This record gives sequence, C-alpha cells and structure tokens, in this order.
Amino acid sequence: MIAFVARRLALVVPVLFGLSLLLFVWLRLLPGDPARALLGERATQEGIDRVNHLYGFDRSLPEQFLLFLERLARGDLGSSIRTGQSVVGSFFERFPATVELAVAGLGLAIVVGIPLGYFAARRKGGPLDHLSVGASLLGVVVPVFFLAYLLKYVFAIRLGWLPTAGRQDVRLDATHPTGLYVLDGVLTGEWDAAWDALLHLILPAMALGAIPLAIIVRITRASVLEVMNEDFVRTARAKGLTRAVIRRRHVMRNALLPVSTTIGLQAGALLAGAVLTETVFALNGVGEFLFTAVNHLDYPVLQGFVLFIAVIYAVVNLLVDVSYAVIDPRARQR
Amino acid sequence: MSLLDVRNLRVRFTSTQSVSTTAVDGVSLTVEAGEVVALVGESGCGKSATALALLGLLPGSARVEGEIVFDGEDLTTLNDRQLSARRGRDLAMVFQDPMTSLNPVVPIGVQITEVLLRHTGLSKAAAGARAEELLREVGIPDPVRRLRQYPHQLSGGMRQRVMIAIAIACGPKLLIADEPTTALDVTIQAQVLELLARLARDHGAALLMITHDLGVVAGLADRVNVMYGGRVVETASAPELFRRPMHRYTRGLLASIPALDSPRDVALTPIPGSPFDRLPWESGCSFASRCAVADEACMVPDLPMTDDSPGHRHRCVHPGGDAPVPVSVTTREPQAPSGGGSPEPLVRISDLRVRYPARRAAVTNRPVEYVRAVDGVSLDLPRGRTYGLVGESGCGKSSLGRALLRLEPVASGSVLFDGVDLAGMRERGLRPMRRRMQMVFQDPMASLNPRQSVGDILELPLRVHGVPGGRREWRAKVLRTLDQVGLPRAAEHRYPHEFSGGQRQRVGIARAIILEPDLLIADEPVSALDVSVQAQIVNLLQEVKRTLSLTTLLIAHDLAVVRHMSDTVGVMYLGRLVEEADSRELFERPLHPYTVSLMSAVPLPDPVAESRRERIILSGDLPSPANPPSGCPFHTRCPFRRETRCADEVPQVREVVPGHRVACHWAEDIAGLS
Amino acid sequence: MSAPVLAQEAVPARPGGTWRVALRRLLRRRSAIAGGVIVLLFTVVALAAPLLTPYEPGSAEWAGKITPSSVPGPGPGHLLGLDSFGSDLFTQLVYGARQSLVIGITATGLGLLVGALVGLLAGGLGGWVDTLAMRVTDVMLSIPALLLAVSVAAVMGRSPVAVMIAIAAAQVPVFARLLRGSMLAQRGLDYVVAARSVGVPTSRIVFGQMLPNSVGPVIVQATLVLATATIEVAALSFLGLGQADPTVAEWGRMLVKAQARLESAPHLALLPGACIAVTALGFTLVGEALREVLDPKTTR
Repeated sequence: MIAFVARRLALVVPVLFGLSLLLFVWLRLLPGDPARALLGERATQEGIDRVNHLYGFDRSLPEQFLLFLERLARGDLGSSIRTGQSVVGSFFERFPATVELAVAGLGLAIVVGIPLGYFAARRKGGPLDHLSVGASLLGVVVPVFFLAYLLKYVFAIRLGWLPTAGRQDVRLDATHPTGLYVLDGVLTGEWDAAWDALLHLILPAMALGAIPLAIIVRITRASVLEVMNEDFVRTARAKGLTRAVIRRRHVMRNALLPVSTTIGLQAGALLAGAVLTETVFALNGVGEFLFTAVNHLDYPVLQGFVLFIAVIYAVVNLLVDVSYAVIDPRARQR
Repeated sequence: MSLLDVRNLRVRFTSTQSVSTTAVDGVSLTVEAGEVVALVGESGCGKSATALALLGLLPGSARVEGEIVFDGEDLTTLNDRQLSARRGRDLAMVFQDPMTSLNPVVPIGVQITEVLLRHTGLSKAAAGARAEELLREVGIPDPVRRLRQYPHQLSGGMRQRVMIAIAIACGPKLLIADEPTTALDVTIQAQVLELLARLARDHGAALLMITHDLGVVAGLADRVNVMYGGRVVETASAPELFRRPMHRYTRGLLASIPALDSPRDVALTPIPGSPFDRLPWESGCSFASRCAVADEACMVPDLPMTDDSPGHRHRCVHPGGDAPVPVSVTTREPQAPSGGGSPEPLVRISDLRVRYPARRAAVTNRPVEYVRAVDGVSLDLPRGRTYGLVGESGCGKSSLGRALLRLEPVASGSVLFDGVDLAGMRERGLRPMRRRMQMVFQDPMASLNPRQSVGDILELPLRVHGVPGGRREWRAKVLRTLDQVGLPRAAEHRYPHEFSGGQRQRVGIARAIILEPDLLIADEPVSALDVSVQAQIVNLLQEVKRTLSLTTLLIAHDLAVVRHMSDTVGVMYLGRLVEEADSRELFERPLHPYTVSLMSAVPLPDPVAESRRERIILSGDLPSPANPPSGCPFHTRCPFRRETRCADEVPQVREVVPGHRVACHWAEDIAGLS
Repeated sequence: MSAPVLAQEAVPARPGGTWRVALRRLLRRRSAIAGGVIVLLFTVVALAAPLLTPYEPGSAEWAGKITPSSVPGPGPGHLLGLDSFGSDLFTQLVYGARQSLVIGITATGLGLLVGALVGLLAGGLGGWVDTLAMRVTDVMLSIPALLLAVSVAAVMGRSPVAVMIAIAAAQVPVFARLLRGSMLAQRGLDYVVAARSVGVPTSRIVFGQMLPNSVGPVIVQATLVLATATIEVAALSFLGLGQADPTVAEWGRMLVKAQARLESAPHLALLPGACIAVTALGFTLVGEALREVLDPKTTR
C-alpha cells in the first residue's frame, strides 16, 4: 500500500514540473503585454521598461524560468502585478471559501447521486429511473451560471427563502478561525453564525453540485446495471445470500469503483464551476480573484493559481486512486 | 421418489418488443439421490438455461413454466425469499468461469464464510475454522493464508476449487456443475473433475453435470441426457448411450469428434450446418434440418419420447439401432512416405527465443523483467507435412507460431524459411515472403475486420501482393476460393457479423489460402467452435492442405485433434519443446512424463475405455512462465521425478529412439527401454 | 447462456456494413431524432438569421424606452420585447445562435483535428512519439478544461478566435487520448495481426484497418463536446473573455447583462439561458444515442 502511494506520487512530480514549464512558456510567448495592461494605454516606454525590469520580464526566458523555479522551491510565487499582494497569501486567504463551496457541492452530489443511481438501476425502466435519467441529462446541459441564476431568482428573489449573495450576514460579526464559515460557527459555538453560513451555502452548492450530481447518477446507474449482470452476483444469489448482503458486499462494492474514479475527474470541473458560481453569488473565493487576474493579465497570479489548482487536482486524484486501491485489491499491484 | 424431478420445463425469454425466444422447450429429467447425471449439448441447446431455472437464477426477462420437484417440493411455486433459503444449502452450483464467478474485491475467506453464516448456525469463528477445513478438503495448500487472499491471487484451477468449496460448504443434496472445467487446462481439468466426483460421493450429494464434452461425461456420469434445440432428445445410462446411441444427433456428435483411440486415416463425419440452424419443435424434430436421414415422418409436431430398452429413451423417428456409429465415409489418401524425396525441410527453427516484458519501471516504462514465452526451441517443419504442436495455455506454442511469421519480435535464434533466415529480416524485406506463409486464427470473429465485406477481406491479400490480373481476375479468384472453402458465392457481399462461427472460420481459411502459400499456421483453428462444427473445419483444413500440398503447423491444446491431423507432433511445456516424434509413435509410446500425464488427463468419450485405463493426475498448477522452475521445467509436477539432476540440470532434447526426441534425463528408465 | 441469440440467427440478417447498420439503429431511437431536430432547428435559425428578423443585432435603437425600473416586454414590433440596452431581444437571440454554433462547431472541429492527429501519431507510431504525446497530454489534463480555456483566452485577448482556440486546446488532450486508446485496443486484435501476416504495409493497416475501427468513440465524444463547447463559449463570455465587440449578440453575455435586472425582467436571463441549454441538449441527445449505437457492448 505504501509502495503504491509512493509510486503514484512519483508520477505526479514530472507532471507538475511539465506543467510549470508549459505554463511559463505559454504565458511568456503569447501576445499580450502585462506592463501595458498594468499601466494602461497611455503608458510611456520608460514606464513599461521599468515595470518589466521590476518583474524580471527583461531577462532571457531560461533565466526567468530558473528564477521562477527557484522561488517556487521557496514557496514564493511572486506577487500580484496589480495589487502587490503575495500570490500565495491571497490564495490562502480566499481558498477556504472555495473549499467550502466545492465540498458542499460535491458532498451534495455524492449523497444524493449514489442512492439515486442505485435505485434507478434497480427499477430500470420505472418512473424513478426515467426521472433520474432525464434529470441527469438536464444537469449536464444547463450551464452552471444559468442554473445559479435560476436558483437565485426562484428561491432568493421570488420566494425569499434563502439569501441572494455573500457567505454570511456581516452583521453577525462572527469569528473565523479556519475560514470555513459553517465549521467556524460550530467550532466557536456560535450556532446562529453556523446556521446563517449554511443557509448562504445552500443555493451555490446546489448550482455547483448539479453537474457532478448528474454525472454521478449516470455512472452509478450504469455501473450497478453492469455489476448486477456479473457472474459473481449470480454466484452470490446461488449461495442463497440475503438481498442486503448481495447489495452491500457484492453489488455496491464493485459498482463504486468507476464512481470513485468519476468523482476524482469531477474535481476539475468542480473548481472551474466554482469560479462561475462564486461570481453569481458574490462569494469572495479563489474564482473571483482569478477572474480579476485574467482580466488584468496578472501573470504571477494566473500562473500561481493555475499551478495551485493543478496541485489540488493532482492531490484529489491521488486520494481517489488510493481509495480505489482500498476497495479493489487488484489495483494495488498496478 | 427422485431427488429431483423436472417435468416439462419451459424457459422463454421476452425481449422489449414482446418477441419471445424459447430457450428450453419441455425438458423432463430426473436425478436420484447420490447419482451423477450428465446434461450434454452444444451452445444454445438450453442446458445452461435449464440449470439456472432449477435454482431460480434466470434474469427477469425469463418466464419459467413446468414443474421442478426437488425433495418433494415444487420449486417453481416458491418466491425468491423461500428459494434463497434453499439455494446454497440444499442445491448448490459451480459455474463455468471461476475468474468471473468470484467477487474480485472480497477475500476468499469471506466468500466462503458468508454462505456458512447464512445457512448454518455457526458463529463467525466457527465458520472461519470450517472454511479452513473446506479449503483443505478441496486440496488448497496453506489455507490460512489463502483465506485472506483475493481471487486474482489464485490460479484458475485454485479458483475453481474455491468455488467447489463454497458449493459443498453446507452439504447440499444436489450439486449442479455448469461446464466446470471448460475454462481450465487439460491437466487441471482432470484434477477438478476427480475432485468434484469424489466430494459428491463423500458428501452423499447428487451431481448434475452440464457440459458439451462427451469425454468428460463418459468417465464420470451414471446417466446421460443429450439435449438439442431446447429438449432432451436421448437419455440412457452412460455405457448404454456410448455403446448404442439411438438419436441421429447423438450418433452424429459421437462420429464427429476425433478421439485419442479412434482410427486416424479417415475423414471425420461432420454434422452439416450449425447448432443454430434448427427448426422449432412445433414443426417437428428440430434436428431435421441437419439430419441426413430426415423425411416427412420427422415433421410431426411434438415428437414423443420412445422407449428403446429399460432406461434408454430417445426422441428419434429413425433411430440408429445397433448399427455401429459410422466413423468413416471417405478414407484419406495414404500419406506418401516421407523422408527420401525432399530432405530439406521448408522451415528450420533453431534455438528460437521469444520474450515479453512482464514488469515495467514506473516512470521510464522500460521493461525490467521478462516472461520467456519460447525458451530455446529447435524444430523442423518437413515439406508437405503437418506438424502438430501441443501444450497447455502459456506453454509458448502460439508465441512460437507467431514468431515464426515474425508477428512477434524474435529475441534470438533463427527461422530458416526455404533457406532464408526470417529472424533478422526487416519488415520490408519480409513482405514478399509473407505471400508464402499464412495463418488461421483461433477466434474467427476477432480475426476478421468487422467493417470489411468478405469480398474485400479476401481481395486484400491479392491487392497487397500485386497479384497480376487486376480487379476482374481478383474477383474471380475470390469466388473460386469461396467455392473451395464451401461458402456460397453470395458471401462475397456479406459482412463477418452475418455468419455463424463455423462459416467465419471458413472465411479465415479462405483468406489464408487465397495466395496459395507454402506454409499454413493454424493456431487453435477449431477450439472456439461448437463440437458438431469442429469436424467440418478439421475436414476442410485436411482438404485444402491436400489440394494445395501445404506444409502445416497446427497449434492446438486438443490432443485428439492434433493426433487426427498431424504427421509429426511436438509437445511444449513452459516455453520448451519436451518431446517430438512421428504422430503414431508419440501417441503409442509417449516417453516424456509430461506427455504421458497429458494424454492420461484427456477424457475419452468411451466409458469402457475410460474405466480401464490408469490415470495419472498431475498435482499442482502450471508454474508461472515469468519465473520457471530451475533444471527441468517439469520437475515440480513430475510423477517420476528423481532426486538427482531433475531440479538442477536442464535436460536437452535428444534422440532416445530413432525419430523420437525427448527432453528428459530419465526417459529410457521411465519407458523401460535402455 | 446464449439462448437469446436464437432469434437473431433465425432472422435473416440484413446486409450492410457496420456504419449503415449503426445509422439504421440510430434512426430508430426517438432521442436521437429529437436531438437531431433541435440541432437542425438552431442551425437553420443561425443561417437564416437575417431573414427571420428585420432588425440588426446590437443596435440600441430603442435605448430611450429603457428606464432603470422597467424593460418593455413583448409587444407589437418586438416579439420578445427589448433587452436592457434597448435592442430587440428576439434579434439578439437569433444572432446569438450564430455565435454559439459557429464558435462551438469550429472549436470542436479544431480540437478534434489536432487531437485526432496527435492520437493517430501516438497510437500508430508508438515509441517515443507516443511517450512524448502522452506526457504532454498528462500535463494538459492536469488543469481543468475551463481553466485551461480561461488561461488561453486570457493570454490571447478578447476575440472569437481566442475563444475558439481556448476551447479547442482544452479538448485536444481528450481526443488524443481517446483515439490513441482505441487504436491501441485495435492493435492487439487478431484482424490487425492477420493483416500484418498477410503483408499489408503498416501505414495501410493504420489508416485502412485500425482507424476506421477506432473512430467510433471519437465521433461520440465530438458530438458530446459540441454540447460542452456551446456552454463553454457562453461561460467564457460570461467571464468577460468572449467577443469584445458589444454589437455582436452572444448568449453568454446576454446573461451577464441580465444579471442586474434579474428581479424586474427575469426573462432576459431565462431566454438566452434556455437557448444555451436546449442547444446543448440537442447535441447531447445525438451523442448519447450515437454512443449506445456504436458501443461494442450493445452491438453484436
């Protein structure tokens, strides 16, 4: 098991190195001048040169890359051209909001999706099956930001059941030791703060969770259908085992393998979706910050954030692989 | 009262468009307590559907009618909950493929104890102890460790033993085994069959054995039921059935399989058509469309069972009676004596080695360990003769055939084809040579491009090699070749998926002979086909070989087929050639212990011969070719193993008797020669 | 258990290659027909946009009628009313179809072309070409698709071409992997070995034998990507990375603009959103049906 994790880790390192190289080359080689973007249309050549020198843009590319790697090794990803804040600092300041949103969205998708997929498969062709197949189709085709609008309009604006934006009512003036507001409320015992944060989280989580939910339902359904046709399920029935044992030990344990892989693959889409959802609900997360960076050609921020997200993505998929290996003994040998 | 009494069982599958197909059409059979009963038939005859119906394991789309009286109780009247209380306890089943029949993500131990916990009052600890006992009983060494392992860590034979342990765990009254050895090698098959029969006897369980292999049945069963087209067409005691087969189908089946002791120089008598060319029962005997003696009398709906003698019943209008089963129709032309004419063989393989990467480094992906698939084999293929290469799976026989054609990279050694060394040749130089050597594959579906019509498939070789004449001439050649392999000319415009297995193999043979090659390599050409179809393909191969005077390398695991078709036979074990001789000599006087045990493991379709002969059942599994034993590769399983030399000295192939080469240190002693 | 085969053998098989068989099976599916109709409808609308509406897109002719509290709804002359900038909403939607389809289809085509080429080279040649291609796709796949598109679009500036390239770039590794995987699966099959044994040159095996048998999954994926691309065009535009010219109608940007008036005029968001979803639905339905038809598990 340890050897398996080590092997998987060894595969991540070259990918991340390749990624930083790729990011570097591509951000430098393609048109677009950050200094000009920073100083505006009427910048003088002198000003541009000064900015370029300040950020090292006037050195040779290999030099810049080495410089970049060296700082990377020290955990320094530079600072924003626009605000001057450190990239790492701003990332960690905003990251909890995104984590909270992503965990809530994915959690919702898993908790609802797996049982729904299972029962749809068990009653194949029944009303629940048709409903879940239809809903999962909709989940895939409705854009995240549009769904966010719809939810906001119906539940927040029309019905007024839930808040329209933000992460917590500022008037509560809650303390935030971790930055995950719901957890913070629980930790500090400020239950009203936790409750308020939770209410703020519901709509964004639903909007963000829709796509993974749809995909998890589909994969679970397909996978359960496939496993139920396997010979070993027939063997289990031939042994006279009870339905509960067959379901738990023989069907679900195998059917969850492709589902866990899917969840890992969804992590990427989830982070991308978070960018859009945060914009609609004005959640001050990584997404919003990235969005601003994009519009200002803030290279250090862009580079740092993409790298961060890739690392997170790699870590999530590593965790998925490990959990896969926990379920499936065959995977440990690969 | 019988233990099991199935009366008029019908199984229909309904698909979505309310079209139903009848898989089982009125099967009646009985099994007495402690009896071994066989249910024999080809694919699609309904034998597996019958077995699954007994346990109520058919999919939801199946409708079951009739009565299944087991131990005085009609199982068809029970609901799933009631049935599940009996399954695994009173009736237990062993399935065909032990790889897919065990849950890959659950330890072996849990898969055994769960059935004990369900049906017996044992505590968890007691069930664990019992599971250990069961593994010991089915002959799995080191059971404590095995209980914690997962199915993929066990060999095929071991997995089937685990399945058997699960089946006997609760002491069932009836054990149903559905093709339990079809997925296993011959020597493992013998072990498993012996185990099944012994355990059923020891536990006082009746055994219902479902198989397509008449050989398996002969040595094992008390009574045999032959199925065709969803019905039992003949039932008799095993000796009676093999001595006096009555139904034309049974007789046809017996006539079409070559046996290890049947005369060699005759053509097999095949049953025409395929098992799916059959009529529904409502319009008479379903075998009529493939039967040589069928007439109007056979077209009576719902033919009844006829009593022939006590215990022997059949459903045939023109039963065979006491006439012997017709084995020969046309005698084969006597072989021209070899040797004198052309001393130079067409192919001379010297010290050939083929290896595959077994393990690769994590990041660089470079192979760090190899499987030695072929490990220094030398042999000659004499012109115009058939060389049969036999061995169990993983012995390297297919790798050798493919390496000969340079379809696998050759690690070292030489392959002289008509004096030219193919081993070191570049692909470009090889291409013109390819015209002279062709291959027939095992799986006829996989070996044909699904997107090309048969005409295109057959024309491709002509086009690639620039055979003169252009399209018109090519097409004529395609049509002539279709005639030659016995396919209608209209097949030209059809696609592979529109044919039956036997017909597809004819297309495969047509592709191989259309360039009129000198050498034909046939890799398991009949093993994917139904029994009644195999004889057709065997005969076709014999015929094209004669008309084109081909040199043939026949690669097969079926000893009877190899014996029937080959002039010279070589036996391989773990990448090495262990014995080679003239076919007659080899089968009459095998000298290598492996060959001896291999032959003894093959079940004979003759209960009398089967009961008379002495069987050597090899213990243990085939070692992994990635890590072969030191010295003689066979020493770990050899019944004649000696303390000296076997474990540390690799035996070389040497001529023990003129024309008979063996790789065994003690061949003379074992054969009582010297 | 091969009992159900019975019926198939009894029915005389209709002649035809696998492609024709697949097409016939496709046309028997209601969902495929529905998807096809949707796609066709939007294509016609996009092509015939100038014939469907008398107005020009993006002309803020009626800006005067817009007040901070209200946007005129459906009425004479304006089928769906005005948008928040005083353009005809119907006109914007119709011309928006052009943008979405043109960019979506071009981007998918570009991604397919480059990805398939990489996959073909990797799968057909193997060796170091394969290793290199797979390492690069590994890296590209380690960034979420939309983020990859965002970074590309950010660097290339705001133009439809940038959006196309951005979306295409994110799909390249997916197509490359898919085709390569499917080619590798073919490489081990006996019919390819048979072609080699007959002496067919490697290039002809790759193009004449393996490729036609490998493109099934790629075609399915391409159809599904058309749906994602439509959504991504809107998403990029939603993030401010799409078309810079304010007079060009684009569904994603219409949604952004509608945000401020979600309370008073929800239809301004609802209609372009629905257009995106329905277009995506059309492509998805076709893609899903294709997948089922071409899946070897359902084909016999």
